[in-house]
Amino acid sequence: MESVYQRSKALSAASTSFCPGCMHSTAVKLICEVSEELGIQDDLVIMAPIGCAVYLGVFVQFDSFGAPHGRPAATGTGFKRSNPDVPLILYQGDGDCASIGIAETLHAANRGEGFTVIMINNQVYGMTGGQAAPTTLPGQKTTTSQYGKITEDMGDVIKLAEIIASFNAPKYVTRQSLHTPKNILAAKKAIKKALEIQINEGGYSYVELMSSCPTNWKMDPKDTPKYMEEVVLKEFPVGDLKG
Amino acid sequence: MAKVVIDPVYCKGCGLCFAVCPKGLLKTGDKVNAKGYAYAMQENEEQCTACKLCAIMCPDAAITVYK
Amino acid sequence: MSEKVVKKGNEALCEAALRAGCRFFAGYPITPQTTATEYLSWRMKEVGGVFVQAESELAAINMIAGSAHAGCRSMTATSGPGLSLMTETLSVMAGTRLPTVIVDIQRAGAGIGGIQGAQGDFYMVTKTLGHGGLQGLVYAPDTIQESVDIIYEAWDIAEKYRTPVFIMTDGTMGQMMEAVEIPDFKDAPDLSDQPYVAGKRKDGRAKRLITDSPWFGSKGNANDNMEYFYAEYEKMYESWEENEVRYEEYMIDEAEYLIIAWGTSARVAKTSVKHLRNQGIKVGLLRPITLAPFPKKQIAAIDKNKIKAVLTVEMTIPSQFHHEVTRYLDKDIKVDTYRRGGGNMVLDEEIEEAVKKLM
Repeated sequence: MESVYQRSKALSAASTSFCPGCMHSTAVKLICEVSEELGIQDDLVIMAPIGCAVYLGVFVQFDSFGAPHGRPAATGTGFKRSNPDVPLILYQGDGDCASIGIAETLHAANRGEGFTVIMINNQVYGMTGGQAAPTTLPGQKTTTSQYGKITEDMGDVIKLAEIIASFNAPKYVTRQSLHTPKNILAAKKAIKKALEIQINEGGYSYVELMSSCPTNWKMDPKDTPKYMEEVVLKEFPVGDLKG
Repeated sequence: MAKVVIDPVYCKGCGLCFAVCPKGLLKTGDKVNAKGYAYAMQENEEQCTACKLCAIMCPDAAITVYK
Repeated sequence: MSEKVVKKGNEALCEAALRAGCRFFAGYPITPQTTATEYLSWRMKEVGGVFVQAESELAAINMIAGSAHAGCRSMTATSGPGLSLMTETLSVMAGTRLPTVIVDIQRAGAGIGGIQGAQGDFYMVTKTLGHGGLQGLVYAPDTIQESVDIIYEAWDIAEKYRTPVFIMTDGTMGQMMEAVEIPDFKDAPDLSDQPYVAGKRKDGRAKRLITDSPWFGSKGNANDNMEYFYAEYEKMYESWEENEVRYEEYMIDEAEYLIIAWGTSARVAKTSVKHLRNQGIKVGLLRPITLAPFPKKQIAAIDKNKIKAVLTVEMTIPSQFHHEVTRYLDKDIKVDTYRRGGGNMVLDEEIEEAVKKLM
């Protein structure tokens, strides 16, 4: 017998520190698999965010560096402009990308900086214990919206992919999901396309990945795909928005 | 002949693979790994078709598929 | 070839930065820094570097951090309000041990304050870079020539210690014009083998896990590693006090009175010293060139048997530099301060009066 699916060599021997069933792990796995398929596993540099993925550099075999919360798009700008030949992924959460760092995110997108943003949208601040984020669904209970998110108070859902897709500069903007094998394969294809654009033609790409946070959703991981399909994706439809 | 091997080092017992197996061959095992997770196991190995859906679904890259 | 030109302070500083091998600048317009950003917006491109007009100072400081992670010599320039925005990343840079150069062209006051030159960022820059208590090297020139000379070697020092380096001027020095000798272009070193530089992993080298906090090491858990490494950083800061302190002694021969001042205040005080000496008053000037490390030993060594009184001069109220000087000065020496605030210049005649009051 030969193996037809095995663990990517771009992943470290270390297990990730993400919770059981957290789709952060799925996203990291896909990035590693794509890097191997593109033959860039020794070239890719990844930026670790503040949040659950702060130890990202431990889990992957790429060079990695960080930025203060919300600032990866600025830090990535400086890196990529000074070393345009190095493929760069900004791995960010929804709080990092759409809340504290929305200014840096949008300006970098509008300038068409030559990196790929992988945004993990799980609708909560995961690491700090499940507070409401700009992506939290209306009515969703979090530790800072304990009776359900009231949009008149906390604002409606920010759909970052749609905002970024409205700019001229970005080459590829897409939202994918990680809740079924079919969606995971589509997400992988999107990551691959984004990196191919970055490497072959240059320019900005944004891949938003709908993800789960079973711990803070207070949900059995096995129940998260159904919830995502029936509730989350109604608010955040998947598909290519640009490019 | 096909089968999957679940690496207890990486499996966190989340169970996301259970529902995606068309034959329903995956379930929570009776052993616990070093992190304290009851990791998944495959039963009735002979029915496995190496469709890879479990491995694709597995967040933690714990599943190797053989054919 | 070096060249002698008459140039605005901000522009001379920027030109010298390019000649020192700086090839990345990000900045956000703020008075009195704007002439620096404007100059580099076109001049950086001429030398093949990258200029980015950032969307904010928050972005600017992070851009230069990113450039440093790519192994490029990078800098930004700002003034007080912008510096406040940058502090989080200054803290990150000090933690990452990232060599960058930050120029603070000071303006008056807290908040919006005023746009005239001042020296009110002294505590903010010299005591700790942002949260967490880590430090950087801080230089304070008093002429445009000195600012040129300092920035020309700023990256060499930043890379030697892997630390952010500050250069503090002010609105006055930034806008004034002066004859200045600009040094020749020199090549930046190849920094690709540095542990803080990310890139393609040639020859199968191990990955670099670059973080702003030294969590990883041989000391057990993250807390223990961070405690250990911060103690090592402290040893480095202490070594700066031995090896990197710079100061100028101006007309101190047989001095009975001493003025201690920095930057523009010291520049004005030099005029006062000349006037007073012409009047037969034996006064000299001690001018710290490095504010961090601060010339503690040199101030502590001021001999009460020779110096009858000390006057500190600074352009900010409440006092900052004055308190720092008196921490180290012999308590038996009479000391007073003369300061102006609100963006007002210190005046040579008022310094002279203040010295005479001490007599």
